[in-house]
Amino acid sequence: MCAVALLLGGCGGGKGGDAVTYQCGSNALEIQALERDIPAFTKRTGIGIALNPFNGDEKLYAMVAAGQEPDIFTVNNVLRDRFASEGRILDLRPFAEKDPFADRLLASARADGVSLDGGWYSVSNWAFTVGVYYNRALFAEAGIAPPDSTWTWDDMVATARRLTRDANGDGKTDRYGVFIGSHFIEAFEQMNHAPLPREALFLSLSPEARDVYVRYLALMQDGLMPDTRRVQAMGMQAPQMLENGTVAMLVEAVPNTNLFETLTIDWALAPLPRFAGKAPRYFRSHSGGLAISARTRHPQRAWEALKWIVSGASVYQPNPVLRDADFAGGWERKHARLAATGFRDVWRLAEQQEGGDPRYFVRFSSFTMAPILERFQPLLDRLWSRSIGIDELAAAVPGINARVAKDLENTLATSAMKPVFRDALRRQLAGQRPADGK
Amino acid sequence: MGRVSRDGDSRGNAMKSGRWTGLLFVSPWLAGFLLLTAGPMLYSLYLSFTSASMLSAPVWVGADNYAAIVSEDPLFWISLTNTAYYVGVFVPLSVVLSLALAMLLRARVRGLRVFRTLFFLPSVTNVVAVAVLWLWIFNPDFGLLNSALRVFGIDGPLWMQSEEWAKPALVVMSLWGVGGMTLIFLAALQGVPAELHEAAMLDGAGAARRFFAITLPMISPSILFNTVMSLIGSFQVFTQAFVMTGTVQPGSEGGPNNATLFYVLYLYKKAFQEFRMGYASALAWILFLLTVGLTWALLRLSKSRVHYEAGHGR
Repeated sequence: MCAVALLLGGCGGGKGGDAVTYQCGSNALEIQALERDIPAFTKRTGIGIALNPFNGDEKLYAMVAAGQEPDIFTVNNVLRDRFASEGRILDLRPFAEKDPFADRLLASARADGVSLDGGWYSVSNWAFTVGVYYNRALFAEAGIAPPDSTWTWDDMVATARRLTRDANGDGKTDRYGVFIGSHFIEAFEQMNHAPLPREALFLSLSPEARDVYVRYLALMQDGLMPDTRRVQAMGMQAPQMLENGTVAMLVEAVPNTNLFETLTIDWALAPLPRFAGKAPRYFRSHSGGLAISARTRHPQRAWEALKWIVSGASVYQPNPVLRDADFAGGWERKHARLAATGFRDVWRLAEQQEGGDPRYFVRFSSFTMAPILERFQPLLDRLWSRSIGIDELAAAVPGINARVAKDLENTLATSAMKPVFRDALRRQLAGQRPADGK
Repeated sequence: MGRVSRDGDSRGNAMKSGRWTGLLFVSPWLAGFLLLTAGPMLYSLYLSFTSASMLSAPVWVGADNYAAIVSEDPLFWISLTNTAYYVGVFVPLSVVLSLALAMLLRARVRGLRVFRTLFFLPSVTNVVAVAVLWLWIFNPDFGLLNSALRVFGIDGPLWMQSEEWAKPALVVMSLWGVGGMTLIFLAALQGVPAELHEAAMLDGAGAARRFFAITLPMISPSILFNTVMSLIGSFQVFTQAFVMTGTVQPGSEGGPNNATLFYVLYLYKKAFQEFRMGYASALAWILFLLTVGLTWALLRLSKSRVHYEAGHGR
C-alpha cells in the first residue's frame, strides 16, 4: 500500500520542487535552446526552471482546472482575460512597481497585457506586423519598380493586373498577381481606418471595413487573386504559391521564419499599401503573452524567471517587445538574406506606429469573441463562395449581436467572475448594446 | 432429509463461493466501469443542469441548458442535421459495401490473404493519418480524385472547401475504413451452411435467389450488429471533420459555412474551446438519448427480420 501511495504521490504535482515550471512550446529547437541556457540562469540567480512543453489551450485549461498548471504559461488574450477575471493568474503590477524591467517593454506590449480591471496580467513575448512579400524577379521581368511606402491599394491592384498571366491562353490563370489570406483582411481594415476597438462587445461592419471586403472580393472576381477557398482547400500553401510562381505577391506576417527559411526565389518585402487619401496605419501586434499562475508557490521567483525568458533566453532574442533590442539587426544576423529584402524598412514603419491597433486577431472583446466568430465565420464562408453579398452579410449583423448579447448576459449571470470584472462588463454592455439588440 | 439438507447447504455454499469468485474476477472491469464510465456519466448528467465551466463551482440552472439548446441554438440543429445526413448516407452504404467486400473476399483467388489484409489495413490505421492522407486525395489541384476526374474532362469540386461536397467527401473517406465490418461479415458468411445452398441449387434457385433467401437471412444477426455499431459510431463522427477542416485556419473546424459541423465537433467546441461544460454535457446527453432511442427502435424493428439459429428471434 505504502509503495502504491508513494508511486501515486510521485506521479502527481509535477511542479518540479523549488524550480519554477514554464510551459514552453513543444518544438525541439525551442526546448534544446532553453535547456542550453537555463543552467547559466540558475547559476546566476539560484532559480531553477523546469520545462513543461506543450501546445494547445485545451490542455492548459484542463491543467488549470486540475490545479496542475505550470507557474508560467502562455495565454492568448481570451484566456488571459478569462483567467484574470476569475483570479487564476497574478496581477503583475506589484512586481512591476519595484522593477525597472517593465520600462524596457514597448508601450503596446505593456498595454496588450492589461485586462478589464486595469490589472497587468501577461507579458508579451512576441510582436509582428504584416507586409507584402513579392517575387523580385517577376517584378523586374515585367519592368515594375519595387513598391515603397507610398504605394496604394490601387497601385497594388494595377501591379497584380500586370503580373497576372495566362501563358498558354487556355483560359486558366497560370500566375496570379497577389494572394491575401482572409485572416489578413483586418490588416487592410486597419489601413483603411476602420474602427477596431479592442473592447468591442458586438460585431460591426463600418463603411471602411465593408469597403475592404468589397475590394477583397473584387480581387477574386477580377481573377487577380486565386479563390481563397481553393487555396484553403490546398491546405494553406500560400508560401509555396509564392515559391513556385503561382502568385507574384503574398500578404503575410513579418517576420515569418517559415518564409524566411524556405523561400529560395529572389524575394523582397514591401509595406502594406495605403488607401488613397488616408494616412497609413501600420501596426505591431502582440496578442497574449506569458502569465503567472495565481497558485504558484514562489511568485517572486516566477517573476524573475519570466523576465529572463522575455529578455534573456536566446531562443526568443532579439525580442521585439523590448525597447532596447535591435530587432531588425538581430534578425538580419540570424537570416543573412534579410538585409537585401527591405525587411528593416517594413519593420521600422511598424515601429514608428508604436501602439497602433489592431491587436491582431483580437478584434473583439475577449468575452464575446467566441460567440461572434461562431456566427460570423460561416457567413464569411458564404461571402467568399459568393452565395451571399456584402449587403446580406451586413444585414445579418443585428441578429448576430442579439445572440451575442444574450450569451453575454448568461455569462454574467453564471460565471465565477470577480465583481470588478462583472461590473466593468455590465457597464460596457450598457454602453454598447445595439439599438436592436435584445 | 438431513442428507438432502447437507447437499443443499453445500450446493448453496458452492454457489455463494462461485458468485464471490466471479465477482472477484470481474471486479477490475467493474471498478473501471464505475470509476471511469458510470461515474463520469452521472457527473456529466449533473453538470448538464449547471453552468459548469470546470474552473468554478457548478451553479444549478435547472433545465435551462436543454431549453436553450432546443429553442435558441441554431447551431445545434445545423450540427444535428449534418450528423443525420452523415448517418443516413454512411450507415447503409457502409453495410452494403462491407458485405459486398466480404463476398468478394470469399472468392477463391490467388493472394486472397493479401487482399484481406489490404482491405482491413485502413481500419487499423490512425484516423488522423488517414484524414491527412485524404486531404491530399481531395486537394482540388493536385489531388488524385480531381486528377482522375480531369482525365474525363470533369473539373472536380473543391471537396473539403465546398459546402455541397464536404459531407459527401467525408462519407467517401469513412467508407475506406469498413474493413472491421467486412471482417465480421466474412466470418458470418463462412458460417452459412453450404448444404443449404446445395439444396437450393438442386431446387433450381439462382445466385440472386440464394443470396436473398439464404445468405441474407442467415447473416442477418451480423447485419444488425454492424448496422447498430455503425449507427452508434456515425453519431460520434468527429476526428475526420476536426482534422480535415481545422487545418485551414484557427477556428475553421466545421466549415465551410458549418457544412461539416457534426454534433460531436460542436460539442467539443462548446466544451473545450468555449469551456461551457454544463452546456456541452447537456449536448452530450441529448446525443446519448438520441443514440439509445434509435438503437432501441432499430432493435425493435429488426425483431421479425433477424433470423437466429435458435429460432427465437432474439
